[in-house]
Amino acid sequence: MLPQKMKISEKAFTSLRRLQNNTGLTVNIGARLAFFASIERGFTWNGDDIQLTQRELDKYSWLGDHGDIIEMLLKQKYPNLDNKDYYKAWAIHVDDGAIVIENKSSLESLM
Amino acid sequence: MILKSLYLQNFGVFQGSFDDNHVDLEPRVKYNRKRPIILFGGLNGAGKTTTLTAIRLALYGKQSLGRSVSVQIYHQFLVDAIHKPKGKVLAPNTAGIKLDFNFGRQGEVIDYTVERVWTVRGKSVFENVEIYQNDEHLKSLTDHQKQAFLNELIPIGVADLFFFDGEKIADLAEDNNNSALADAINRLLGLDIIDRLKADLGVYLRDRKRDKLPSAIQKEMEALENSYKSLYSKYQSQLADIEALRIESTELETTKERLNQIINDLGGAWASNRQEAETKEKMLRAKRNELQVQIRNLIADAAPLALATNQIAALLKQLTDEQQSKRQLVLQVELRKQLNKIQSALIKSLGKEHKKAIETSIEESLPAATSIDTNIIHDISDSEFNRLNHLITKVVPEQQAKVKALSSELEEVEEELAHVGLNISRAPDERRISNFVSELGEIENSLGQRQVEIKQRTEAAKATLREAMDSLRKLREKEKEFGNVTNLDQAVTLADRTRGLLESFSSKSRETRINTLEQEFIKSFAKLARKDDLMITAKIDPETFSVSLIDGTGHIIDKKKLSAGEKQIYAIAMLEALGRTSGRNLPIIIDTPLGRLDSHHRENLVKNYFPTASHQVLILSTDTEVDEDFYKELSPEISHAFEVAYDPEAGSSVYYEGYFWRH
Repeated sequence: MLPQKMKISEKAFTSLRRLQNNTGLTVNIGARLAFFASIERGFTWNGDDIQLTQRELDKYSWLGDHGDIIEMLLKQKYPNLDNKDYYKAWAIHVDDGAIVIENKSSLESLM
Repeated sequence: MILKSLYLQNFGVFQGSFDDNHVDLEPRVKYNRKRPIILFGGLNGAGKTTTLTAIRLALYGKQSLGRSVSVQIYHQFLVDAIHKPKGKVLAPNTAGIKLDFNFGRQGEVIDYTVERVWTVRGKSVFENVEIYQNDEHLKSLTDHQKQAFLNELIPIGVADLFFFDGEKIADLAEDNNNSALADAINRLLGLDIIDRLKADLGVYLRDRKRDKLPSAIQKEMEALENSYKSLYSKYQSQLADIEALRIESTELETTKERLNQIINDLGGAWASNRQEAETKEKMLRAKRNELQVQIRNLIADAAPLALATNQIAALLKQLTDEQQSKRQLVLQVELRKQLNKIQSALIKSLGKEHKKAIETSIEESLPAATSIDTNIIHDISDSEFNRLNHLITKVVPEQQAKVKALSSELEEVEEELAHVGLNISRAPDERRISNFVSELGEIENSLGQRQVEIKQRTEAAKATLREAMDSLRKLREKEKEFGNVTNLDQAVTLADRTRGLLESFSSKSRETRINTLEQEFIKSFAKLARKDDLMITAKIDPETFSVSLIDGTGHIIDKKKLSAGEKQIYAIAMLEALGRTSGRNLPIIIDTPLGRLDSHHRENLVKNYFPTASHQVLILSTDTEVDEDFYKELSPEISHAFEVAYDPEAGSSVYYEGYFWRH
């Protein structure tokens, strides 16, 4: 469903670099936290386009061991999208969640 | 003895030369009568106590500060006593006191002048004492001899009882000051002279008796005596050395205190455990890193799923529903297959005419087949479902709890780290205090050495004393052995008898004198005490001179339970009684005599004590102590009065003749 290589937006990347400075969590792990935070808070993609320019990694690096759950959550929220749009939806959610978590100043305040 | 004049030069609050600060202390004759009281009035801090201090300092020098005061402390006192002028760039470095007095000796009145001047140059203090006898400069005396000469005129122990601070004199009533009182009683009653006479006669007797002895034994005894004398003087000098060491070690203690203070001010208390703190900080940092790695590992795994608990729960529900519907679907297909088989078998055996009925009844018995309303979205396998179910319901909550526990542990570590870091930042750099610390170490070392030395020397002195006593005992044995066999001439016989006589005279005289003292005390006390105290009597032990007060019912009063004012009254009564019993004619100076007393005691003191205390009474008081009423009461006895006034503009005090309301 999600492509094998993925990128995220400039804005999300900046936010996640800030999180990395504060907590030592790398950008790909930050992206997972951002995704879960965003999906939980009820944010919904309204179809806007997004420029994906930063840090090409393969799907496994971005999603980790439990990537299937991320895909299922996306499919559950958006049951009728094209495959390439699921990529956009994922990136939009990372974009949205990154802002929520970028100001967490330490590891112990994250969860 | 009469104090005639006091001159001060840049002493304490008094600025200027001897001519600027001069008071005439000699009692004046008015209406053909010599009046004893000279009154000094002044507000607090004006310079009354300075006047008393000046007189004592003039007469006793270093000893006026106390018994064993080091030269260093005395010099510091002299430096501090130099007037510090207000707003002048150049402070004086010289101060001085001059005291004129006369003294009756063997029917002759001799005038004395003591002049004590000291100068500070750099850190050194140079003190010069000059004595004039009938205007004749006593030149040939050394400083030490000059002081000894003054001490012989008025012994310091006695002076404490005549020149005193009314507030402090109450200490005399304390039991622990018994030795001071005993000393004073002995001296004032002249009992010390008898003891000395007895000792002198003993020496005379020994010498005379020895002359009569065979020369061999004489020599032996001389050797014993010499050994005793040299041992005893060795013992004395050992004692003096020990005293010097004691003073040194007190000074070292002071320096040690000061250094400790400096080190504390520099944060030394923190420095001492800086290393410990640094070790702890290292350990905490390691622990923090470990905790962070653990948390990061969990966050890289399944823990973040907990961030979307609701969404994932919804997902799980969807997956469960899908599984159920799929299972139902499978079940229905299977059921349909079986029913179809049964149907065809029934039709076959019952005949085609029943086909319709069979089909209908089988259809009716089927459960509502379309209970599956779940949308199949994900369509995952059973094993996949089981894996996800386990992950979501077991693994995620476990990891979440672990992260929480690790996080709070990390928080504690961070807090501790901040605390330790603060301590470390407070701790000064070792180098900043290392000089002081090493100096402190040296001082502690030498203090320890001094203490060991004092202990050793005390032992040595004791040993010397034992040896001396041994020689003395041998000498006495020889005297006894040969004393009786020789013929004694008349002088020796008489001296011997006199010695015996003195012995009994001393104890008899002591008894009578103490008896008189008791009587005098009761008289004085009755004059000074309030009416309700009148039943009190005193009992003085002739051996120890300890004084017991006895109330009307014969019970001994605990002196510790007396109030400060009562102690003062008790002490003044005792002083007056001592003065009268001794028959010494010394002036009396009292500083702040009435401070602690109630109105009854004050009145008694003013009416009954001051006018008759001595032929010269200097009273230093504030305007509230001797107020207008008391002044009037005393005025027939007042020779003249001074007011000591402080001028805040000039920053110094001046003596005016007159009193607060009389100029």
